[in-house]
Amino acid sequence: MPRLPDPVVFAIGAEVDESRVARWLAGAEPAGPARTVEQALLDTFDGRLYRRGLVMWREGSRRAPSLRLQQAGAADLSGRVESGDPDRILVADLPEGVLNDRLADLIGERALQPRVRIRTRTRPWRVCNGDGKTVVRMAVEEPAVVGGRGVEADLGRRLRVVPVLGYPRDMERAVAALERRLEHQPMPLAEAALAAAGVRPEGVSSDVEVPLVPEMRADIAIAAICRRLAEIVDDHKAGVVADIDPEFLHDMRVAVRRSRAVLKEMRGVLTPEQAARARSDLKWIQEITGPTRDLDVLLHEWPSMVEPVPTWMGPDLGPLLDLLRRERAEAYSTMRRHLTSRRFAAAWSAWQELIAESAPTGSAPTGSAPIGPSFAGPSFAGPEAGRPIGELAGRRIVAVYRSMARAGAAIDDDSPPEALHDLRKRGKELRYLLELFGCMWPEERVKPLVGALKGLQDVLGHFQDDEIQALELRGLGPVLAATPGGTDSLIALGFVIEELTRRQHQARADFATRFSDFAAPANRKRVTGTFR
Amino acid sequence: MRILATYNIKGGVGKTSAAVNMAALAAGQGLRTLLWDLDPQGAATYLLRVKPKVRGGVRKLIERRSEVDALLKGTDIEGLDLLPADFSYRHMDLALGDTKRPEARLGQLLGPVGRDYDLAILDCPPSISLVSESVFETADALIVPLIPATLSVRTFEQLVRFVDEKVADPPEIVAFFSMVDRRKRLHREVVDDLGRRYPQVATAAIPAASDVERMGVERRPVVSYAPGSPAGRAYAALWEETVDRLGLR
Ligand SMILES: Nc1ncnc2c1ncn2[C@@H]1O[C@H](COP(=O)(O)OP(=O)(O)O)[C@@H](O)[C@H]1O
Ligand SMILES: [Mg+2]
Repeated sequence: MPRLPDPVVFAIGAEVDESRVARWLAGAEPAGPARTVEQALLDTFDGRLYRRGLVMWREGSRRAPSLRLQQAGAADLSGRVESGDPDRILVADLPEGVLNDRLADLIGERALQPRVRIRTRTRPWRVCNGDGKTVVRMAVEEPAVVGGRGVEADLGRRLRVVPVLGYPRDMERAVAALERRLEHQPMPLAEAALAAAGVRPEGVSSDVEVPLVPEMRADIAIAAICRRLAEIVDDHKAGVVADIDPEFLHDMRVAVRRSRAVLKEMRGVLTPEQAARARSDLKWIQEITGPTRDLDVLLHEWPSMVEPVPTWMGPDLGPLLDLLRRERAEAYSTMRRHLTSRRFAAAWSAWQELIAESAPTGSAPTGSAPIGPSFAGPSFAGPEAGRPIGELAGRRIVAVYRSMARAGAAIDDDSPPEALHDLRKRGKELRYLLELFGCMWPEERVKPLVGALKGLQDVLGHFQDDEIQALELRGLGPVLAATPGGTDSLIALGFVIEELTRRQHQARADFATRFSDFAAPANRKRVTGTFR
Repeated sequence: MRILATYNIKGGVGKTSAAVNMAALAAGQGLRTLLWDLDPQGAATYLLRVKPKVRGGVRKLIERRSEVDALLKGTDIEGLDLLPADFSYRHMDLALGDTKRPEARLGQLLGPVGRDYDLAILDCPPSISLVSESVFETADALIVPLIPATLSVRTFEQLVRFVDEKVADPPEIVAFFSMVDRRKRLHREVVDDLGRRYPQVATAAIPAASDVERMGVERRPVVSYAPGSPAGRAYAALWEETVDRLGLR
């Protein structure tokens, strides 16, 4: 339908009897029986829609709910959801069309979940002209936030005034008449509902964003970062266990990996004994979550991986995809068992204890010692615990950058793949150092370096992941051969592996250019000039 | 957007009644529907309580100097909008005659709103003219009401032949019997005979019913005020059959 101007919404105070509307507006009358509608406001865990100013409603029955996306300055988009769990809607569950197009990139692999549920009693009204024709639609709405135990908060009464196509004058007249008696409702329903329910609209972020100054004591800075990373793990674990969407696991693993990188790079801040337990526990967490993540990636990449398979062979891939899904389900239940085990609980609380702020010691900092309240410091007791974080982090950034430059320069066409894999590993460490500590230096110096590093890491990532995926798929061969239709599937698998190998070659071919950007004199100078 | 048109060379056979009811049924099923009342008499416009007025008149519209968007009216049925009739439509033939390719013009006019609607229904005036030729070119299907009388059998056969021979890309035809009185032997015979001979004739038929006539007083579709009446149910059945035949879902 052609786009209409937005409805105008008024607040109706408790003292106003709605039947008065009929007196204010000539031709106004009730237009049918009252209805009650249920809506849920949907968003991703990390509030991607809210951050873009989008509002998504789920309406109608739970079996075939419809979605409506409101966007400022553009028409609503809607679509019906026919598959999946209405409390956990993925892009794949959205029908093809405008809604899918609009959301695919924005929410990616994230699930849309209810943020707040609303029940609204609506009484339709209308304004008629002399022909008895509806020229303005209205509705008196009484929305309320509902939870498990029924109504939790009333959101007040509203009068919604909706234009009818082709009758702009009547709309203007109605709005003008109502404006004389009623206040505009300033708060959109979504916002009012979130506020009443006490839900943070921006969702849960995985950004670290711990503010640091170079003079801060290293132990305090490191512990603060680790606490924030642990908080991210805590925030995401329930979603991993409930298997809401693959991003929960991804974000959780990134937080763990970052924690490990911090421990490794900031070795001297902890005693070797302190570091050892933490490092082995975090490594274990990474190991128990790895297989599920690998299969998530494989399944995500699946559509692009199978592109080169001839169309007529497409159906042959069925058993392979089924197998991958079964493997993923198995990996997930193993992971879930680990994550809910006593061992995990013990490891996790030991880690949290280590990075916790300890009780006041009473010894205040003296003289020109680095700033930071030692009475609330962590129990880190390594030789460098008291050094300024700026100095430590800067030194590590320079060192890792240089070691990468050296290792990368030594790579030629005959180097074994491990040399590139190793370079990628160091690249990840440099990236985490820059992400976690880069805020202490001017953005315009850090950003270009991050850009060049990202370019390099992309090709190195492809080079390694394509290989891992090819090996992983190859490993499924024997199982596949034994399933019905498995032989045909094996032949099709050959194409997939060939594609992965082709991509890996491509990545290797791209390596030289990306590396020379990264190790370019300008970047070298930037690194030594900035961080040392 | 799919385009249907109710057509018969004769007046008073149930074109407008079918157009309005089918449009309401389509909108009720969630199709974003546009009804274009092409008849200068404006019966469909009247039934939907809209004033028969197109700003700028037929010339401006046909010469594409009017924004079709700005001429549309929302109806009392949610999901159904109307492009109203105007008395100047009686000169639509002349206006079309002055364009380069008259037979393509109606389709061109609908182009800009094609993305806003899933379905358009054109309610045609009775006649054979440039307007109807342009409709034949534009529509995906013609919905043809037939009165159960021997003469209307001939008109139907003429139409089928005309469309097949004269239209480059002929629309499908869904014919149905209108104002049927099964108590009359002649009605039964004609209905059964034509139904057997022509696959275009729908199984669903609209009975002669005062509920349909009452539309002029109610100024609403039968399917809105008497959905469970024999006529209301007959329109629903006709619509379902049309949807099936044309693959509208
Ligand atoms: N099935 C029917 N039973 C009784 N009267 C009908 C029926 N269909 C149409 N009419 C009446 O016949 C007249 C002409 O119908 P209409 O739909 O306007 O035909 P057309 O558009 O072909 O001229 C109208 O008064 C209408 O109410
Ligand atoms: Mg008519």
